[in-house]
Amino acid sequence: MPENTAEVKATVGKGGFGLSLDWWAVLLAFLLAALVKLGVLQHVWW
Amino acid sequence: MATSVTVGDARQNALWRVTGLVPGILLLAVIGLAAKWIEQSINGYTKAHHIVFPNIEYVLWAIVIGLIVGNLVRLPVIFQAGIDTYEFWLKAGIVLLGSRFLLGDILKLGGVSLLLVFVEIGGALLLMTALGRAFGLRPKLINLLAIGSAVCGVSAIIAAKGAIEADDEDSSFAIAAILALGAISLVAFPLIGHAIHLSDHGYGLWAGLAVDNTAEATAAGALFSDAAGKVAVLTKTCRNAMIGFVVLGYAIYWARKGQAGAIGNKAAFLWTKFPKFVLGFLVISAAVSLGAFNADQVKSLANLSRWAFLLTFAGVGLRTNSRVLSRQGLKPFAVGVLGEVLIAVLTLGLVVGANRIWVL
Repeated sequence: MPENTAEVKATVGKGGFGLSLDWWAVLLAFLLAALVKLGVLQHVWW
Repeated sequence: MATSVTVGDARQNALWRVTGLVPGILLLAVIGLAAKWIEQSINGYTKAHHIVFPNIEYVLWAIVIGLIVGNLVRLPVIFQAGIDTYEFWLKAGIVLLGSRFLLGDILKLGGVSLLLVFVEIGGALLLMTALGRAFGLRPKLINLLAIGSAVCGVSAIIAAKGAIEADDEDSSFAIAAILALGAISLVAFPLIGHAIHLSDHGYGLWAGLAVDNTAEATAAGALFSDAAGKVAVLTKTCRNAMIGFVVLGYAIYWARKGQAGAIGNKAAFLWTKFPKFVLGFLVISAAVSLGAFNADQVKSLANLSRWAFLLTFAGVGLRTNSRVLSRQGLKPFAVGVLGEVLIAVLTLGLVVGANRIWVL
């Protein structure tokens, strides 16, 4: 168990700073949404 | 003094880690932009010369360029960490994609999807288990293949590996089989979808139900159409949300057999395994539904989501390594192929049946 668990945690929680990759992705998305809302990011091109 | 040195070291390490991501992320961006440029150039040329030519989406170009670069060029190690961020961009893209769904749509679409997801998960687990036993695979390898094909590919296998204490060889086999089949589905699904004239909605539902990895499901949906890509992501997100429950079930089974550690707090276990980006997706969708963003801002959020997916698709191509895939065992691959074909047929039947009832 220990070595497996450690490896899984290292793989899944590779976001760093105590946050998982999922939370980092959510934070980035929220930051971008806030910048759009505040008008810092406007008319994003595609 | 000692504390400041430690904090300073930690900051330096963090800065070093972030800097190490830059080359790979730049490579993803260059491949993504090249894909967009090729799509627009071909479209511009065919329009200007009145040539009838099918629109080949940037998604396909990004994957193809990634495949070529990843398999023909020996990339220096400095690119690897950044390339591995493709999953991070996928999750950020899914959260931002919430801007393209009103909560009412999610309840309606998600309700149908969720119902089909339950049937798909049950059917896939039974099918893979039966096939694995028929081929004489090891029990934990059968479980990993079943979880990977029923729920959400590589993430589910990684989550289950620790919980049921499977060995490295079994999880490598299962991951390789799921990745190989994901690569095949990128080609096969859009072709079949067009051949049998599935609607955008029906196809998206099918891709979300049958393609295992979230990145490949998103790409397979987007390869058919933008609308199909949206539905594929929503359906796949419903499947992802089930990961904790399925892994918990298997963990309890192996713990009772004395071949895995017991699960203490089941609620905490479920929360640990729950994909948090699903919550972010719902928050963004709720904010848009409540009118927090105007139409122009919603368009910007949707476009940011597309940019994030562009990096993901480049990463899908880059990490699909033919050498690694060809090294996997024949039996697990045969079980994977047979199982996936049967699951694709089962889920196609589900989608066609649901279409008759709800007119998708």
